[in-house]
Amino acid sequence: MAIDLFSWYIGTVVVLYSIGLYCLASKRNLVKMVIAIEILLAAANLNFIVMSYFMRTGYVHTLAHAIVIISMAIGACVAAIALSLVMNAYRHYKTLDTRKMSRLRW
Amino acid sequence: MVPVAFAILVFIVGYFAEETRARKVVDWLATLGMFCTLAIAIKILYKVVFGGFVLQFTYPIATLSMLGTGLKVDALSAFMAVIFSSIGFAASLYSVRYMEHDTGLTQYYVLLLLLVASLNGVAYAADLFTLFVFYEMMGISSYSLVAFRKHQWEPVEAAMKYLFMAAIGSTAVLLAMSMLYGLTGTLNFEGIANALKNAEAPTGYLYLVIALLIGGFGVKAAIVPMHSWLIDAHPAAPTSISAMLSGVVIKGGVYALVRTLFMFFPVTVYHWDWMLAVIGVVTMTVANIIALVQEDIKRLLAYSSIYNIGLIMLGVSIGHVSVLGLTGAMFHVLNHAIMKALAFLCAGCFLHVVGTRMLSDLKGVARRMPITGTCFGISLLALMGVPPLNGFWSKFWIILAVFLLPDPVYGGILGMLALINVLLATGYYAKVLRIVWMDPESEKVKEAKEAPPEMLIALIILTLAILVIGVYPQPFFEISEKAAESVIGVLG
Repeated sequence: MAIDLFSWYIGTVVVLYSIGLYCLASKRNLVKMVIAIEILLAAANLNFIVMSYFMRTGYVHTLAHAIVIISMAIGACVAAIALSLVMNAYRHYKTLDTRKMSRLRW
Repeated sequence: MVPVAFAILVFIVGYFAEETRARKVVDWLATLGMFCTLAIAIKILYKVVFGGFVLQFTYPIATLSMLGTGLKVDALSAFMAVIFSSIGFAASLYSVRYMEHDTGLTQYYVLLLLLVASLNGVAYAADLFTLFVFYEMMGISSYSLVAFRKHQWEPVEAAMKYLFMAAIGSTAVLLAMSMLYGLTGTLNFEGIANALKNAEAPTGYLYLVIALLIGGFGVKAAIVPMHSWLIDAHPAAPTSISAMLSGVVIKGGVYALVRTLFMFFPVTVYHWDWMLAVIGVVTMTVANIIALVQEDIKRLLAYSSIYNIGLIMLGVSIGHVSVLGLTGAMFHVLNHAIMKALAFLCAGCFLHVVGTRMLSDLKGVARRMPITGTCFGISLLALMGVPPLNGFWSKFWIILAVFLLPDPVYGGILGMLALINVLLATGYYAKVLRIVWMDPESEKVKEAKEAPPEMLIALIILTLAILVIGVYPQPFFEISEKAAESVIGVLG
């Protein structure tokens, strides 16, 4: 039974990660791309908790808690920087569409 | 313990920087901070290499102390920390004059110091989690520094591209970390290495972990499928930051890759060596071919960085059979950091004085600015691999090690490809040399004067380093060898 639950959790992680990658590849709005990065990070954090939970069945190791909380804080910093860059990009281009702002090539 | 001291140093400097209004005070204080960092890093290197001294630090908090040793210094990390700090010092000294027309210099220097502190942290980390935290800190400060001139469109767009690519990379690293944690129950480097050594057959998960690690750290290291952030971020950033990025930040990625792969996954079991070799050759070839047609001097140097990363990867990939290969790779990390930082800083002098990055406008500029021109010429010659300069030795050792591989066909093919790439690279370096020294002067260059003295000091220090290492490489080679042995020795 526990194995079954494990594969459900891992499946969730894989699905979340795929959603993040798909979103990053297909969306053309910068804010949506920032959200995609947050989804990727959430998948990785979830995987930490899952791994910790099933390594010693019954409880989540406190180390995993500490790590996930710190990694969430780091994710917040990255998101803050990303959003501030998005804001600056909007000031220059008056749009959030990446197709209209790809001036850098080769 | 030492990175904590660095962090305190950074905070003190940041505090002072916020307190003072006098601009030059901030600049020189930051440079002093860099100098202290460099001095401490050199002292640690000396102690580690010659005294067998091992520095360890464990987190005082109960939960985090379960990680085991938080920071641990061996020869490789001490060696890397010296490279990081020295380029940081040169960049900081250079920025004193280069950045004088910009506002927000306090933030600039605090970010620069944080970047160097986090690079040192990456080098000294002894568990994956510490490595990850410092790695992200490095990323965050470098995104902000690339976008420092946020009133222009180019830096903002380049930083955005950098951020998106690097963020995907770090989630891949985090995922790999979580899998390693699940498989071994620890995040400590030695703990993981021991746990994986006792595991019997390699499972599919571990190959996935290797792929995620190469992909994740490879983004920062700019290996070829993931290199496109670098060529935008380097030209767009302020020149001192280009020198930092090209000289040391991508080396942070390489270091993390070397550390994790060599420590956790014995090549004899997992066979990731041919993969790195292919990556190295592809990286070199693609970068060189695109670099041949570049018109922008900083963009050309950025491609040349990617080529050198390929060469380093090639050296790393044969590290398990020949210590010489990894030694050459580590030595090339040192040499390339110095040469490329110098080349970027000289290009920055041209940009500062002439106001353009286009090679067509920089014709004959070196004759107008003889000191900068000489330094630039020396750096390009070193990058080409002309014998009495430092670039020759490391390239020579890497390629020699490739040819000396036990499997002559594999070694021969890789070595020939590497040699072809060295020749290709010579082509575009020679083109740049011809343009800046020999071509008739263009309109914009006519009024160019020599760069200000603070910039020249940084250039001359780096030039002297190139000459010294080139003429007398023995001690540096020995230190690189110690560094390479320290990472290989773990497996044995």
